[in-house]
Amino acid sequence: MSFSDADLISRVLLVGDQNAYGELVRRYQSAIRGFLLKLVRGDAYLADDIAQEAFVKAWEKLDTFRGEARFQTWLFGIAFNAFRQNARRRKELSLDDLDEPPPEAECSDSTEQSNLRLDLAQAMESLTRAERAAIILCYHNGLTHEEAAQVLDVPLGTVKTNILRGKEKLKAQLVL
Amino acid sequence: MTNPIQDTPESSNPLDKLLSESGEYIADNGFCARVIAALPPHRQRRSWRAALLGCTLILCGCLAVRALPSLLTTLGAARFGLGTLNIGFLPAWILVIATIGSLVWGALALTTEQE
Repeated sequence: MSFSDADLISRVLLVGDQNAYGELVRRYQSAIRGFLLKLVRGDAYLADDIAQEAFVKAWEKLDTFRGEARFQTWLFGIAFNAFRQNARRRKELSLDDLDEPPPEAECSDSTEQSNLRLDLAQAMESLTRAERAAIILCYHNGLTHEEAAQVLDVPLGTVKTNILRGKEKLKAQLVL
Repeated sequence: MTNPIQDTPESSNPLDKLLSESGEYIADNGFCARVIAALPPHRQRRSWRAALLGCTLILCGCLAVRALPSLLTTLGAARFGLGTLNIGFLPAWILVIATIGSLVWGALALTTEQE
C-alpha cells in the first residue's frame, strides 16, 4: 500500500515518524540529488552533502509546510537555498550573481563548433546557473514555470526568460 | 505563429524532448539511511508539549494565586474549628492541584528530554 505525501507528512508531524520521512526521502532523493548534481557541475559528493543538508532542514521545518504548493516544489526550494548557502560559503557565488555566466560560459558560435553535436550535459555547462536551474526544474523534474519561480524565488517572467535564453544557447550547440 | 514562451514544456520540439528525457534516476546507494541517521530529534512535538505545558502552568498559576486568599481563610477557619471545608471552594482546590500537577509534569518532561 502506497501512502500519499500528505499522509506521510502528517505522520511525521504527529509522531515524528522517521520511517515515514524515510519514505519521503526515498521518493524525492533522485530528483533532488539530480538537480543539485547539475547545479554543482557533476561533483557527486558535494551534491549529496547539500542534498543531505536540505533533507535535514526540511525535517526541521516540516511544520512550516502548509500544503499550498506540492511537497516536491517546497523541497526543491529548500534544496536550492541550501545550494546557494553552500556556494556562498565556498565563495563561488556572491549574493546576487545567479544570473552571471559561469567562467567558462560562452555561447559558442564558431563555425567549427556549430556543426558539432555536443553532449547535452556538456552543453548545459555553458548556461548560467539561473538558466540551468530553470531548465532542470521545468524539463527534468516537470515543474511548471510558476513552481520553478517559487523554488528559485524569482519573478515568473525571469524564469520564462531564462528558459528561453537557455534553450537558445542549447540549440546553438546541439545538432538535433 | 506560436508563442515561444509557454507555461509547460512541449514535447514535440526535439530539444524539449531531449531535455525531458535526460533526467536519469539516481540510485539511493545508502543516501536515505545517511539522511535518517543525521536527523535531529523531532522538534515539533517537543515544542508543542512545551507550549502546552507553559500555557497550563501560567493559567493554573494565575487562577490559583487569585483563589489563594479565600482558600487560606477557609483553611484558617477549619483549623480553629470555626467550620468545615466548604464544598464551594472545590474548584479552587482543583486549580491548586492542577498547578502542582503541571509542575510535576514539567519536571518529568524535562527529565525525558534530557534523556
